[in-house]
Amino acid sequence: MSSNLPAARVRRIIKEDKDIVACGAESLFLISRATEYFIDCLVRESYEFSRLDKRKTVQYKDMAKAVQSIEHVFV
Amino acid sequence: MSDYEGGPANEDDLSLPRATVYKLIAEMLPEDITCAKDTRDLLLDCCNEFIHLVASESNDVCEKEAKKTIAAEHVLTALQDLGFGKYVTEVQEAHDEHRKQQTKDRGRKGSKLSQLGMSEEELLRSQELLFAEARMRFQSQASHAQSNNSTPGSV
Repeated sequence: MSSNLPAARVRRIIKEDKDIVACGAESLFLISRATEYFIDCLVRESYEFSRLDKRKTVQYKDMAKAVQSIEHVFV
Repeated sequence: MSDYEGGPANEDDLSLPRATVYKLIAEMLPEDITCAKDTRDLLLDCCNEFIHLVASESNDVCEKEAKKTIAAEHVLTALQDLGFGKYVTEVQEAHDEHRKQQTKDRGRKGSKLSQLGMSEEELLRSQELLFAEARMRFQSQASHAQSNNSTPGSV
């Protein structure tokens, strides 16, 4: 079982936070997977907005709306 | 220092590889739907934020337990605390699958010996036999080589 996202890159992004001492390999895998589900959710929600507008291209405003729905997290 | 991953040269621009994420987006959308470039880039930025968020929260959970290394359980708790509870089930499944795979790999390595169907004594005996055979072969080869090389004047 592996993630679609490159582990080394995800690890480097995590390590940008100087407060983080160490992240286990399993945790790295879980964060990668969670990010993939995150992408999945955002893409699907954005697509819904574009579909409601009868468009074949998912535009910036669609994704902006999708992000707003989880805005409580992104302060 | 060259970045052989082909990633950004500047550490500040560190993000997920564009091509990988673009491919994931394409896989998630129906065939006839496209995603504008600025939208894809927005998604990339959001992913970055997400990773930082989850990692930071996981670290907080980890520190509260007086641990130094972020463990899987910390990540799961963090996702719940951040309001991504609906991810937890799926991520938990992936975690269980991952663990099962690791145990299978470890088990495969350990069972090689037991699969031979021989006791430890028998294994040691057969090992001794193999060493003796190899020794004999080596000695006969060495003496054969010596008899070939023994010409006057040779060292």
